[in-house]
Amino acid sequence: MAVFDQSQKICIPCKIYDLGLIDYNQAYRRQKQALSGVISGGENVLFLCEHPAVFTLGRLDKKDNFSCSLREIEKKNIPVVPIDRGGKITFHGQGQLLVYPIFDLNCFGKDLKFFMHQMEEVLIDFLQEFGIVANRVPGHTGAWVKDKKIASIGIGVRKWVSYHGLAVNLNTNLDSFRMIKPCGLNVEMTSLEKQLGYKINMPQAKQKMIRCFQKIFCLGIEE
Amino acid sequence: MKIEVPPLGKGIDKVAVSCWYVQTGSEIKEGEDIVELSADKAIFSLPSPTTGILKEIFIKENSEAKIGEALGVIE
Repeated sequence: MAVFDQSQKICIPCKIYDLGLIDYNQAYRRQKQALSGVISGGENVLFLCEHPAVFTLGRLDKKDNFSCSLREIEKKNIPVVPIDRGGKITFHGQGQLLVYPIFDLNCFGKDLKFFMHQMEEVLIDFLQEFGIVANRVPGHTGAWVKDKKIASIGIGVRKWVSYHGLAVNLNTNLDSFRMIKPCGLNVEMTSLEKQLGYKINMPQAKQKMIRCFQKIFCLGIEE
Repeated sequence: MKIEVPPLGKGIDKVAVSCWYVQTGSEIKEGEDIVELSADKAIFSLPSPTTGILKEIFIKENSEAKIGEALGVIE
């Protein structure tokens, strides 16, 4: 089994799948299938996609992080899906890039903190490609542009294989975030479009994201 | 045999028990996921270390446990 070691430049095999615009539950089923495959000894998998509008509730959410009534949520016709990942509530919608690494964490030292730190590193690197200086905030995993949150991370781990992952706002309509306290925080969300003043090309962004994952996690990519 | 919180990496010294998948008295197989732990933005499904009956739960849902602490016992 290839083990992560940046100094030795050993490549950890990984297959990439671009799922395009896909329903959240459908993407979740794809993740669970891939999870079984990696648990059984198959190659690591990296999914990239966008979702139609959905709120997801992580395990830590007590369903008290909506800033509006359930009636208002129903009027908007945005589903609310409790899900088996860390963290609290967030919003996914078109223009937001989701990346789901289904990675055997035995390759990465069985260290959850390190894995999430590396995902933050991917985000910081990715945003730097656009000239955006992003930072970490201790105690609040994700990527921030000063005091505004631009990307979130939340994972699940089964038999030391990861699923779920990260979400970065490229051209996301940020209005829906005002209906919630994202990640349980009184925080303003931002996006690359808001920071830069122009829409981001999603296919090009996906290629940049793949390269950042390849670099930070030393992946040998098969597309 | 005790079910212990495994090391989850440097910098993680405690977890929260978010969900027990089984009840006391349940038959469990080695490797079967029995409890879900949460740390920061991660949830971790902990498999049973052995086959047997879940005799007792020491740390209930929504409580914290340190790394290495016993969550329950299987006989």
